Amino acid sequence: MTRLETLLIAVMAIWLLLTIVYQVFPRQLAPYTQRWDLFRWLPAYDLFAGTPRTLQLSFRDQLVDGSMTDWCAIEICSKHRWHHAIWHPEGRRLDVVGSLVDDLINIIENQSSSRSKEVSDRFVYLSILRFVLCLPRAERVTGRQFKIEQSEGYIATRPSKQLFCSRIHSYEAVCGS
Amino acid sequence: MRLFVDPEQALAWITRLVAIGVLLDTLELVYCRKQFDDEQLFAWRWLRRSRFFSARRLFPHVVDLLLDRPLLIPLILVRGVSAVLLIVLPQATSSSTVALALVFAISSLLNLRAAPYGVDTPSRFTIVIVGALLLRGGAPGSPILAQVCLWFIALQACISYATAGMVKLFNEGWRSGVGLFNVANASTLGMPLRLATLLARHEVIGRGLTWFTIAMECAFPLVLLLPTPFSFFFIAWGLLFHLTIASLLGLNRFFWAWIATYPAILYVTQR
Repeated sequence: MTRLETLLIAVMAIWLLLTIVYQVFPRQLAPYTQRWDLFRWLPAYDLFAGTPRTLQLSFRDQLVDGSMTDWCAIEICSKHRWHHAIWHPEGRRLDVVGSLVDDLINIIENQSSSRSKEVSDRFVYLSILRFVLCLPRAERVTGRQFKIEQSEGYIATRPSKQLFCSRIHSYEAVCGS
Repeated sequence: MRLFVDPEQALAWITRLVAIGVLLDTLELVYCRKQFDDEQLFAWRWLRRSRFFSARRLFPHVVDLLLDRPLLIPLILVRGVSAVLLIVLPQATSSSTVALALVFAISSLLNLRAAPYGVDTPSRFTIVIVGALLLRGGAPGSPILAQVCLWFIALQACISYATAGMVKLFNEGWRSGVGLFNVANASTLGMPLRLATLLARHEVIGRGLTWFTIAMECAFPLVLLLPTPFSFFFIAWGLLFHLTIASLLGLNRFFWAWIATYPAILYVTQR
């Protein structure tokens, strides 16, 4: 075996070993992989590990006269189509929005109420806000607010429960930045 | 039936299949290129404000140049052209090694760019396969390196299934047999309503399929140990499994990334 072969085999062996260690200790190693694995060369295989939650993102607008419109639900998943098995370009964007909504709820649920003000400073919150504010709007709208509700899914025995409601954000403050 | 007993043939097919996935990813990104516009969620000027980038000093001028829209779209297109080259000429040559290097480098940059929101699993898995093929391209005439590369890819696939199975085994929802119903019933995952209805009406089917999924995922590494006719059972299950999640969940890129490992698994099982 040449030196080059030995080197290349060693790289693959280390890569495989790190992959195994990362699957066994994902939480313990997460701070290190977040920091050092910039290109995400270490895969995470914990697919569909938890129980999926059905979270609904909705928004409503504030009009010039200060009144609010009705809540409008945002589709954060694409309706099932058989051709998505081959071609599903919008899936990635909707996946990201869905993950952001899920992450925001996890942050809210895992932090004490005394620190709740910080939520609106988080990148996750601001990204959802950016997404919501950039959706089409009428001319007489000055601000927008969003909320997140949880339901049991298609087949539900209980009504949806509101988990979070943002304050009203003006367009000039966020979309322009 | 003996498929992929020749390591070169197996590696060529892995290259071809993973390149199809990369090409599909490229076409989808180009189709949705407006999402990189300044006011959108994937705008570089927005992503660079995340803690992931703001807390690091990653050669800001270089990163800005590479990840902002003007150069990003041409880079994505270069990756697409490299993928086409790999589909047409998958054999280990200097040109395919250059194409693999371009796919690896540009995919890594795309992963870096997506990091603030989290990089999706197919993109991460594709990098692993392309990386292994690229390392193998470092000494294309080496038979031992070809075999190590095939083992590496086959083991990565087995680890992926086993991990996915084990984490389900540790989840109460999956263990109680309603895991599959929960996935089907979560309207945000995009499965058809009638599947949730079917699983709700026939609980036994739901429980059976849930446990079958867990058992097959956990037991998948046995594919490397069992004699050939039995190992084909796992391969057939894997194909059906990926076709099902592609068609029901719309996870089309998962299919190509994982199916690309099957020539390696078939090669190893027939050794």
